[in-house]
Amino acid sequence: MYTFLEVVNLALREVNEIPMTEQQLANARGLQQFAKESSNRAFFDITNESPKWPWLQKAVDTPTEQEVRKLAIGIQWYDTETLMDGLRQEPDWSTFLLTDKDLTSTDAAVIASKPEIVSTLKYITYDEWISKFRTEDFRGNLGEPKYIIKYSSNKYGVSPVPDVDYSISYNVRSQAVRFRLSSDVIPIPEEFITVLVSRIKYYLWLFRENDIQAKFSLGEYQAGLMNMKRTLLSNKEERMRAV
Amino acid sequence: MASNMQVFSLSCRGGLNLSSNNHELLSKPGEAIDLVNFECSKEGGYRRIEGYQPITTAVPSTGHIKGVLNYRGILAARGDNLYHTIDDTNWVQINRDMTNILVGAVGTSAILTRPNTLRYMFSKYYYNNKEYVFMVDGVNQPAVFSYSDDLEYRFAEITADTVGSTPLKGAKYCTFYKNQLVLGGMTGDPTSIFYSSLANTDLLSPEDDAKETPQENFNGSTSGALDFGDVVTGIMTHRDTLYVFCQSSIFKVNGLENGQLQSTPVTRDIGCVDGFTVQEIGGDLLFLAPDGLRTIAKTERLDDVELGVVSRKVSALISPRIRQADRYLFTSTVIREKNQYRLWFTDLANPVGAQRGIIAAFTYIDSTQSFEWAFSEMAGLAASVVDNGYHGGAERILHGNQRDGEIMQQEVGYTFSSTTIDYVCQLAYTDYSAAGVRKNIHKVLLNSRAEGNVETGIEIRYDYNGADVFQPAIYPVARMTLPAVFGKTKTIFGDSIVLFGASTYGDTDVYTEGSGFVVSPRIKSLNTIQDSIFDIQSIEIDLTIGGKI
Repeated sequence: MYTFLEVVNLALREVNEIPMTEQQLANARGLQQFAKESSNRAFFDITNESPKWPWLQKAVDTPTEQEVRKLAIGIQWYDTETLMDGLRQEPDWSTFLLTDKDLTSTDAAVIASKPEIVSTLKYITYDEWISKFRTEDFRGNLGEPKYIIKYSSNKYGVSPVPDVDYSISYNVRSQAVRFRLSSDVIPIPEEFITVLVSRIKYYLWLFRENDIQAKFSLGEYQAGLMNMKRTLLSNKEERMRAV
Repeated sequence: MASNMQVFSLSCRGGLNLSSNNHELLSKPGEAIDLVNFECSKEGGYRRIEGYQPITTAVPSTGHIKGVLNYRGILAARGDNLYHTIDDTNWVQINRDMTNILVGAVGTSAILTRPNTLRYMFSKYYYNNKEYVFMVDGVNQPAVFSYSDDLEYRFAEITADTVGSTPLKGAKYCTFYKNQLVLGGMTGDPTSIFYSSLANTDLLSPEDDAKETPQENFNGSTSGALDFGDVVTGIMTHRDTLYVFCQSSIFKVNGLENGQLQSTPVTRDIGCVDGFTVQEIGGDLLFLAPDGLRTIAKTERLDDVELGVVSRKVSALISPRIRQADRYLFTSTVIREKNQYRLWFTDLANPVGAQRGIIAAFTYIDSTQSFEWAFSEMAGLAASVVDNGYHGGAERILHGNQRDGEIMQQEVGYTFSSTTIDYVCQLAYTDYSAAGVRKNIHKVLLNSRAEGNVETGIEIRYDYNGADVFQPAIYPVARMTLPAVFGKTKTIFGDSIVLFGASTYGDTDVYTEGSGFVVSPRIKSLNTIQDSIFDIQSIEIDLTIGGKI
């Protein structure tokens, strides 16, 4: 895998600028500092294209990429929790599974038992909850949750408010964080590093007011990104189906 | 990826320029802002200077070399003594009371002690087809020495009269005006010059001229003294005129030989810092004045401070030394075949590698069909004394320094006595006719001619080497070597360093990185090998332009 320093230097060389040493990266100035910032910006650009990138799926190990929480009777709002390695977590909002079985229990009998209730919560936005369900929830009508509500400040809620204790299980992914150190590893597979470099190059050419070269770089980036998505994201086994 | 590549060619001409401001230099991209151990070549371009090599064994005694002269072998002064060698190996002490003493019998002659000598100035004179050397050392009596075809030495001290009075003692400067010896800078009479009788007087009649040492008669009818009312700092004969340099005035004197004495001031505003800086070059006298190097002709025509200075481009190098004149030994020479004047500022307290000097070349400008002075700097070429003479029909430049006891020959080899020569040639920052726009340098092409193996490097400096701009590391240039060109005298077929199939002027290109608003290429020694001589004719820059930030 490429390091942060290597990627910045690849981009600098592409625009015929002076590559940096480790020490210089830490104290970069001028165009070199801009290249450093552009590298993070380009990485976020690619990351934000999809939550399904492989490098976003590696935050939690047991059980693989899943979080389990208990929903307590009468409690509607819960915090998302910080992952163990200090990375921020981001739930996959389409994977919230509700069950009456206590998924956090270590009791063998409970583990072996079969749940009576198993359902997938439907994701709604906070605004949608306000407009459609808030008043019902406010009245204190408890019930089996049907919806998962995303709230912007690292919270999520369920509606209706739980009438008994439930467990939920959902997939999480880590969020991208910016690179700081020269030795920070770029998680993008090596064969696609040119996609990142072409995006950085795009910003560098814009900075240098060279619109023509910027346009070339943008085209290069877009074509590369398409290939990258096809390879890393598409499910080739899935076919078009009627819904 | 580059588009709209533009090519600029910088012709290396004009030498070191430390006097123009940055904006003025933008339009003089061929001039240099750092030019160390290069010289402005008569053939155009900047040429790495040649080295020096020891050609003698160490001169006996200790301390720095105080005098050197090409004279039937080599004459040298070290410590309190004078020595002569005819084979560059065996030195004979010659400050002895001797008349027609065979070389092998010199040891029997009594030594004439010459204690506390400062520096020797020599003046050669042919009389009756014999070549004599007159000398002064700044402390003792002037002296005369000769080595005849009969392998006989003669040495005698010169006094003003037969009873040995002392007005001539401590003379610092000597020269011949026609056939009269002229002395200046005497300890007891620093404002006067003394001139001898006509040398064709048979001084020691009735002796055989061939066996005679002309001691010059300072007590005869055509001898005399002339007081200038200012401390004499140098004397030099140029054509039919004797120039007397004083601390704050310069005079020209004629008619010494016939009693029709005429002393005319050249200037009463400008003087000479040191008589050892006066040299004849380009049909004129060049000397170090308090405001820089001057020519007599310009000084006479433009009798004012600064107007006649020819070294304005390197005032930043000269002025600090002049302000501390007591600290430095000023010494100079000319290299005739190169139209070149070399001036050293030697600080004996500093090591050889730290010594500095300047080279002033009188170069021809084809475009204006005129001559101009072009300068460069010397570093590590230390000289406490220097002499240029003809030896075996060829020009030979000798010098001595404060470290090595040997006498060195300049313009020989490509090292400073086996020490690698460090060199730098940095051209002025230029904006390539696109002010305020960023230039990205893709390639630098060095048009140069090597005279042997050279491994040099190119640095690209951006935006006046600003701290906020990344400066690329030095780019090594592929090894250059002596090209084999049919018919060229330097081509020795079969020599392993000769490159066949090459052209006289090779183009060596280097791919570079980085960008800036003003750019300066810098040629610098890599010290991977001991580089041979090479010159830089021009530098071609391939760049793209774009962006104002």
